[in-house]
Amino acid sequence: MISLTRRDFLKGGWSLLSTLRIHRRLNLLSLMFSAMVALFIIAGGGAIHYRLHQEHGASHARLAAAELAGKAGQLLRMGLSLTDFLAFDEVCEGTTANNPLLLSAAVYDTQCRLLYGSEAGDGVPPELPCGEVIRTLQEGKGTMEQVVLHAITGTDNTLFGFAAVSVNRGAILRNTLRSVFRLAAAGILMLAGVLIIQNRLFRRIVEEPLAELVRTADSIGSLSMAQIASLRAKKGPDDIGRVYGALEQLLSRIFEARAELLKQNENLESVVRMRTEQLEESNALLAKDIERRKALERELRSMANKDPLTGLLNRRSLDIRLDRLLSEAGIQKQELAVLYIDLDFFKTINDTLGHETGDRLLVLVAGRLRAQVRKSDPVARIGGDEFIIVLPGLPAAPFASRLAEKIILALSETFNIDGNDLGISPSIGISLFPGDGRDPKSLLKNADLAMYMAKSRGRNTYCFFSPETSGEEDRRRPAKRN
Amino acid sequence: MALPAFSAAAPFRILIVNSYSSDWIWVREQTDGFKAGLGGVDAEFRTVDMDVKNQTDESVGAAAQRARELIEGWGPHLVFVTDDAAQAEVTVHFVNGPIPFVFSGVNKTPGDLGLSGAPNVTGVFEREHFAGTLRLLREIWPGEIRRIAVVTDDDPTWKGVRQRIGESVAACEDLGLESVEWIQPESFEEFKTVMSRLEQTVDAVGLLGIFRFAADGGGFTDYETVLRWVTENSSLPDFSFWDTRVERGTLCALTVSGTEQGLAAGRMARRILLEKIPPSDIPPEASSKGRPMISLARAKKLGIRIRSGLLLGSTVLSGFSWDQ
Repeated sequence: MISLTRRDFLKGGWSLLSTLRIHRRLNLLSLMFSAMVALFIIAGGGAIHYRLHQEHGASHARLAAAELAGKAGQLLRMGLSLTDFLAFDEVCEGTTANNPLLLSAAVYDTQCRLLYGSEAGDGVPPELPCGEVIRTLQEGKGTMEQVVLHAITGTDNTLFGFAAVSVNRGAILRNTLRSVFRLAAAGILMLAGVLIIQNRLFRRIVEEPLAELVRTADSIGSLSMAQIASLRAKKGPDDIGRVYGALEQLLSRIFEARAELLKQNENLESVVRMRTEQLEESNALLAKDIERRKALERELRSMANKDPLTGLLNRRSLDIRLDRLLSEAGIQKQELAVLYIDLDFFKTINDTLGHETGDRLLVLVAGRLRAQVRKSDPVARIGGDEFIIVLPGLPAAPFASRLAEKIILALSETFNIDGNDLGISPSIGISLFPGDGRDPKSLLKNADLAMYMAKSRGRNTYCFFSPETSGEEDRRRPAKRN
Repeated sequence: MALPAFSAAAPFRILIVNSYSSDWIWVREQTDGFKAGLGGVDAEFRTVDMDVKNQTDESVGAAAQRARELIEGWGPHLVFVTDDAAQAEVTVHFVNGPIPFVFSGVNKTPGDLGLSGAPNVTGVFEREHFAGTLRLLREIWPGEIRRIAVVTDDDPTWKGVRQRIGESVAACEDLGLESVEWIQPESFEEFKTVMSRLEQTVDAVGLLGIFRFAADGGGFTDYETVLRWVTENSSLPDFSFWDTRVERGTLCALTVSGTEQGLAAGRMARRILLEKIPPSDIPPEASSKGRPMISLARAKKLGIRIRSGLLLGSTVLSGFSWDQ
C-alpha cells in the first residue's frame, strides 16, 4: 500500500527532479554565454589595449624626441654647432636604451639628412621626406607614420634640425598580447567566479529544496503527515514555495486516499476472516461426515466379504480367493488343497444349549482353526457348522493330512462356555488340485464328498477325495444335508 | 652645556663669520645652503666677513676682533663659521665655551685648527675630489695623463689638501699616475716660468693655491689674472676642485659644493637649536658629492672636442668670466 502511495507521489514529483538536468543545461548555456561575452570583451579589450599601447609608445617617443632635441639644444647653447657634436650617437642610443617601447633615435639636419643615430637605427631612415616633416611639425602633430619628430631649436628659436624617435611596434604588440593574456586570465577567473556563485545560488535556491523534496518522498513511507514537518516550513510565495504547496496538497490527498483504502481494506479483511472461519467449520463437519461414511463403507465391505459371526471369509469371498489362487497355481504349476470341515453333532448343541451357545462355540472353533494355519491361508465359514480351509503352494497331500490332524487335535480339547465344557469333533474332507478338480466348484464339491466319507468312517477323522467312493457318498450327502 | 637663554617669541640669534667675502659665490653658496638646512627656523642673522684673500692682515685681524666681540656682546645662540681662516681667528677662542659653533668649507684637519675634542664645535670638512677630478680630466683629454704637477701658494690651507691628494694617489692605483710634482712659486713671474717648463715635463697641471703669488708692484696677483694667463699661454690641460676656477678658465673640476656643505651645516645647526642636541653628539662630516664642471671655452682653446654625453652630464661653461 505504501509503495503504491510513494509511486504515485514520485510520478508527480519526477518532473521536479528533472530540474537538476535543467540545471546542467543552464550551466552549459551560462558557460557558453559567458564565454561569448568573455571573447567579446577580450577581443574588444585587445583592440583597445593595442590602441592604448600605441598611444603609450607614441607618448614615450614624444617625450624621448623632446628630450633628445633638448639635449641637442643644450649643446647648441654651449656654442657647439649641430655637426660638431662628439659621439652624439651615444646620446641617441641612451635616449632609447632603457625604454623597450622605443626602437631608435636620431638627429637630422634641416635638410632632413641623418646626422646622428642609435646603432639599432632600423626604425629611422637615413633621410626624412622634408615636405612631410615640415608639414607635420607645422600641424603640431609631431608624428609621422613610423617616427615621432621634435624640432631642435637654438636660443633664438632658430631651427637647427629634427630629433626623431621610432616606436618599437614589436614591443607594443608584445605588451598588447601580455595585456590580452592578463585580460583573458581575469576573464576566466571572473567566469569561474560567476559559475561558482551561480552554482551555489542554484544549489541553495533549487537543488537543496529539491533534494529535500526527494528526501521527503523517500520518507513518505512514514505513517503520518506530522513526520513530514519540514515540507510545511518551506512554503512560500516563490516558485519553489508553490511547488512545496502543491506537493503538500498532493501528499494530503494521497494520505486521505490511503486512509480510505486502509479503512476499506480493514472491512474486507474482517469479512474474509468470518467467511474463512465458517468455511473451516464446514470443512470440519464434512471431514467428519466423510470419515463416518468411509467407516460405514469399510463396515459394509467387511460385512460383504466376511462371516458376520466368526469374522472368517464368507462363501462369496472364498469363491473369489479360491478362484484367484487356482489361477496362480495353474500358472505356477503348484498344488493346492481344499479342506472341507464339518462339526459333528453340532445340531444337538444348538438344540440343547441354544443357538446363542452354538454361535459362541462356532466363534471359538473358528479361532482355533485360524490358529492352525498361516496368515495367508484362507479360512472361511460357508454354512452353519461348515468351514473351508485352502492350502496353496505346498505339497498338497502331506500338508493337508498334517493340517487335518492338527485340527482334529485342536478341536479335541473342550470349549468352556459359561462354565460348561463342551466337546466337539470335526469331519474333514480333502480335495487336491489339480487331481481332484481344476475349478472351485468341483474342488469344493469333491472336498464335501470326502468329508462325508469321513463322517461315514465314524467321524472325527479326515478323508481324501477318491473317485471310487465319490458315487456312494454323493448319494448319501443330500440326506445328511437335509 | 647650557645654551644662552631666549624666549619662545624671540628669534634665534645666529652669527655668520666668513673667512672670505659674502659677495663671493663660494661663500654665498655656503650661507644659502646653511639657511636652507635650518629649514625655516626663525633667526636673526649677523655676518662678519674677514675677506682674507683681499684684505691686509690688519683688516683681517680687526674683522676677527669684531666677530669675537659680537659673540661675547650680542650673545648668539649659534655661530656659523665658513672656511679655514676664521676657525683659527675666531672659533678657537671659544672652544669649550657655552656657545655652539658649526663650520663648513674647512680644509685643515681639526688638529691643525686646534679644535680636536672641542665639545661645542662640529661642522663639515671640505674634502676635494682629486681622483674624480682626474678621471674627468682623462675623459676630456684625448692624450695620456700619467705625470702631473700641482701648483700651490704658501697658504697653510693647502697643507691638508696636499696630504689628502698624496693619500688618494696611494690608495687609487687605477689612477695610474707615474709622478706628482708639487710646485710652490713665490711670485707670478716664477709661476709663469714654471708653467712654461711644465709644458715639457708633465701631462697636466693642478691649480690648487694661486692666491698668494707676489705681484711686481707688491701684494698678490689676482687669481683671475693668474688663471687668464694660463688660458692664454698654457697648452696643458689643467684641473682644480672649485667652480670659481672653472669659471676662470680651468679646464675641469669635480667641484666641491659650497651649497652641499652649507646645507649639511644648517641641518646640524637645526638639531642643536631645536632638538637641543649638543654639538659633541653630532660628529663632523666630510663633503661627499662632487659636481663635474667643464670649461668648454678652455677646451676650444686647447683644441679638443668633448663627448656630447659628458657635456650633457656636466656643468658646462661656454665662456670665460672676464668675457661676461
